Amino acid sequence: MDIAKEKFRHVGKDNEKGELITRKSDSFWKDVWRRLSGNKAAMFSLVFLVLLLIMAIVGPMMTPQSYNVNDLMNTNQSPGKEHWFGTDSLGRELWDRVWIGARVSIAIGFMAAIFQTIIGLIIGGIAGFYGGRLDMFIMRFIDVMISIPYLIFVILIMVIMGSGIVPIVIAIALTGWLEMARLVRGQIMQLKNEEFIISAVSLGAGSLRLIFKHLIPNTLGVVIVSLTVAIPNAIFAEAFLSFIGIGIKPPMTSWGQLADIGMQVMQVYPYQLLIPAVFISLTMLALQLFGDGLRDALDPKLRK
Amino acid sequence: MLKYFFQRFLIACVTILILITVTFFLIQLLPGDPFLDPKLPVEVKENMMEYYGLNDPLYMQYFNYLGNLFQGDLGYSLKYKNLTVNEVIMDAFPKSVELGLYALLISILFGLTLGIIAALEHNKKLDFLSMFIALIGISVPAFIIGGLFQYFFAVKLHLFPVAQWQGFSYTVLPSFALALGSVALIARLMRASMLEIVSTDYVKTADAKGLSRGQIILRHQIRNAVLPVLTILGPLLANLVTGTFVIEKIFAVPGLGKYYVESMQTLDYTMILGLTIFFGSFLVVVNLLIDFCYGIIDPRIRTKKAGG
Repeated sequence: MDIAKEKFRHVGKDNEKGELITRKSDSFWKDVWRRLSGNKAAMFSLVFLVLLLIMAIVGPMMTPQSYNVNDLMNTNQSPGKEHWFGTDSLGRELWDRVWIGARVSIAIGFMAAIFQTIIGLIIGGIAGFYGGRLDMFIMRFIDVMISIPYLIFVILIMVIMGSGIVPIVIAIALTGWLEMARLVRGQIMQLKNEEFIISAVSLGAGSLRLIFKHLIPNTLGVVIVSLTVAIPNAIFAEAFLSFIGIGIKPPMTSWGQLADIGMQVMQVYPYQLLIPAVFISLTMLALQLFGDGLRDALDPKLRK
Repeated sequence: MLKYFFQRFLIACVTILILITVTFFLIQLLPGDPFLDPKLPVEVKENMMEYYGLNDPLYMQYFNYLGNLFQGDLGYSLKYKNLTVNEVIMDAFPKSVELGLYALLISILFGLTLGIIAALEHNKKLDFLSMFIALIGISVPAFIIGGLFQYFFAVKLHLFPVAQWQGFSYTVLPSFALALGSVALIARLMRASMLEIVSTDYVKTADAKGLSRGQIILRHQIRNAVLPVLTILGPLLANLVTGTFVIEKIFAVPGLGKYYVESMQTLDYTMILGLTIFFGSFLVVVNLLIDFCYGIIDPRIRTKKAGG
């Protein structure tokens, strides 16, 4: 191929310009977002979860009825124009109950996950940072506690504290931090020997600066990933507890409780089971897919 | 070797002791006492309290309970008159074990098959289908699956009995409902494990020396891929045990899980205490056995764990 020589121009060598970065480098989070937004399943899940959140807030306001007012003239009405999701055996509007249930599930999921993360971060951080005897003691304690299935402990705590949102959050947080502490401790132990930590120490950084400026930000990826696992786990635990009758008690409601009630009238009014079942399943599915996507986006190396 | 086994055993013993202690003292925090009937004369109640040793200081009660426990006595149920917790366990546990074993069998059989198919058909239709089933199994809670199974297969299609526990056909729905989550777990792990092995040197060697594809898959891939799957047997079992709580409730199986759930609703203190200890200890012991098996199968594990 012939290319005319005139088309080229000699610009010479410029040492300064050679090192110039023409484009602003992407921040870590921008990078994560780029990878995440390329993941269709995760984006669908995100949209679904956002819609769910909005509906949980405005849903109950869209009907004149209330989730806890009995209407004995209209019991067990099928879904339709009058009652969008139908009514239950006391004539309460299922539409409202489903969205109130969504509020409860989401609130419990987030609160429990955040509390257990904070506890795990602190205890795991202490164990990993100080090491030695303290570390051994904490880790043995965690070993012992973790070998008892957490639901058994949650059930026990629930039986003692009674039903309600706050006891559920406490029970889940008290048992859920173990795994998180183990994870954080492992990360911190690993990070402690990295060169940037050693150089920070040799530059005279104190413990507090090390922990808050270097160690915690670097464990954030792992922590966020396990947070996305902790939220569906907590929602599942609440549904499980309410389903066996020690979680949320009427007139307050939750998805697990709705499923429990629906199960009892399933043969005659199947919609009362199917509606909460669909919501629980779709939400768990969305959280799972979004969590997977976030994990891949935060650490592409982990992807299989 | 022996040191590893001994260490594991010691940790298991401590775990069970802590479980007993924590459960015992937590139960003490519950409001009220066993004799709440207002018609009960105060003197009778006082006598009963004395008889059952409930007036003793707490530490005495604790050591009494421990002593009885070591003789295998979990005490009386408060709700069922004349029934001891031991009798309830003897009566109900075999049914739960039966249900659990069926579910375990189903999860291993279906889980491995799905995982292997997915790995062999990597990135093809069957792979996506298997992983979609696995995703459903992981994200849909057992009690929803149980309810839906009951509705579609029993109420609508009349293929199986709706509930109760009176023969083989009664076990099908609860076993599958209980197993689905575990099927999903095994399938995902097996797929990942198989895919990892496809690119190892020894599979390439086997291929290079002219073994048929079937032989490579059977002899080299599957055999080696199964090992990592063994490591989730412990969590799997915990999954199955807590699963029985809801599945037995849905299908009215007179197993231990149903009694456990019931005792929580009726606040049958001794039953909650006894069954919590029983379930906890059962899982700890099984996990210990699984640990021993790993130690025997894979020498790397025992040397690593004993050091750290």
